[in-house]
Amino acid sequence: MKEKFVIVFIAVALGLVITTVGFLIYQSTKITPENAANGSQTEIKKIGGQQTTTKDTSGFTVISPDDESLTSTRTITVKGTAQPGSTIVISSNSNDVAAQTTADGKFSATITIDAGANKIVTEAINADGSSVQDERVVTYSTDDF
Amino acid sequence: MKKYIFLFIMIISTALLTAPTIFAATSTPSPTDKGELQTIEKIKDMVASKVAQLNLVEKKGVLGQVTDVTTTQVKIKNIHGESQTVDIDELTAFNGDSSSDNFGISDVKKGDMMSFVGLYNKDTEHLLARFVRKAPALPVIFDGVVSEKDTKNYTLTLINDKGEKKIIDIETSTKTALYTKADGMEKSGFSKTDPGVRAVVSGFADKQKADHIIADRILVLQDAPLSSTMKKYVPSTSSSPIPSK
Repeated sequence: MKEKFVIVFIAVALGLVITTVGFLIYQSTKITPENAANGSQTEIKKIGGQQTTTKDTSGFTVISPDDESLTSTRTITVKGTAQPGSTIVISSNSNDVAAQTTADGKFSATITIDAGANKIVTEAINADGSSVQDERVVTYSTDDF
Repeated sequence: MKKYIFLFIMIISTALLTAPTIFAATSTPSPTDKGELQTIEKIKDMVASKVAQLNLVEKKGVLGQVTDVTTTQVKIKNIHGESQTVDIDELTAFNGDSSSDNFGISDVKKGDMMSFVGLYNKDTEHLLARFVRKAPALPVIFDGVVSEKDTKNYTLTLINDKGEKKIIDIETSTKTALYTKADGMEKSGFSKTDPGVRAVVSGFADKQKADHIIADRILVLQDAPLSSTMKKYVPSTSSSPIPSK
């Protein structure tokens, strides 16, 4: 009678061990919602990561401000790159400024703009007298929307 | 003994046979878990959609000449010659000039120069206008070499890199500045502007004379080099294509 109980106990214990091992293996191969959430996040990053840059073949580039951008200040800084030694002329609706590029071809100049839409024309006059132009619109607006 | 072995096998078999039922019971979420998961999924979708929407929409200010207009939409040609569509809704505010207080969509005509501030949708490539205003007259920028100077009529003749010629009318309000690498910008005048120098003129096209520009500002670039085309138009009487200050 005692032997019967021992055998039944061993058999139940073995059955439980086998069942537990099987359950753990099954759980480790399951796809959890956490993994799925990570996948969505990557997708969002991809959507938000779109950026555009324009570059002229002569190396003349206006980095900022962006075309059709809005600003809440009456002075803007125009930054970009051109051939080293170039003269840069920046014109807004009512002002002009001129500057020189640095040895590495960078330039930066501040210009005053009018209220509303402004056409900003940036011209780089290279050392050989040739020139390249960039036109963009910058709007001064304090409207909240 | 045989009896015990049979009993052992029977118990093991029973345990193994009940295992799938246990797996199923633990892996399948209860109705409460399902509901929670669905809520989480909904929130995730809403957040993702809002983030995507924020990335797709940006505030912009566009400027262009009206090519077509309806009560809900304005088509314009921007300064680069590209067509753009501007949507108008009940929240769009109109602002004309000081002479018209009740400026609205019906006052917008083909050929008008308008500026729009609103939300640009990168997906539809439409701007949802929040503010519409009549744009100010934009200046014409002309860069060239001063080939002639008429002191009687107060005009300068400028020729650009493409060989295009413009007569620059100097008004009493015209501001003239001089730029040199050494001294930067300083005030100047018509009398100090001599043929042979490069200058950038900002002004307005004369509607009656196509080749005339009414100068608002002149920036004389004293030591800026001339292009090969410009050099051809430097008058022989000029002391030097790049005169000293």
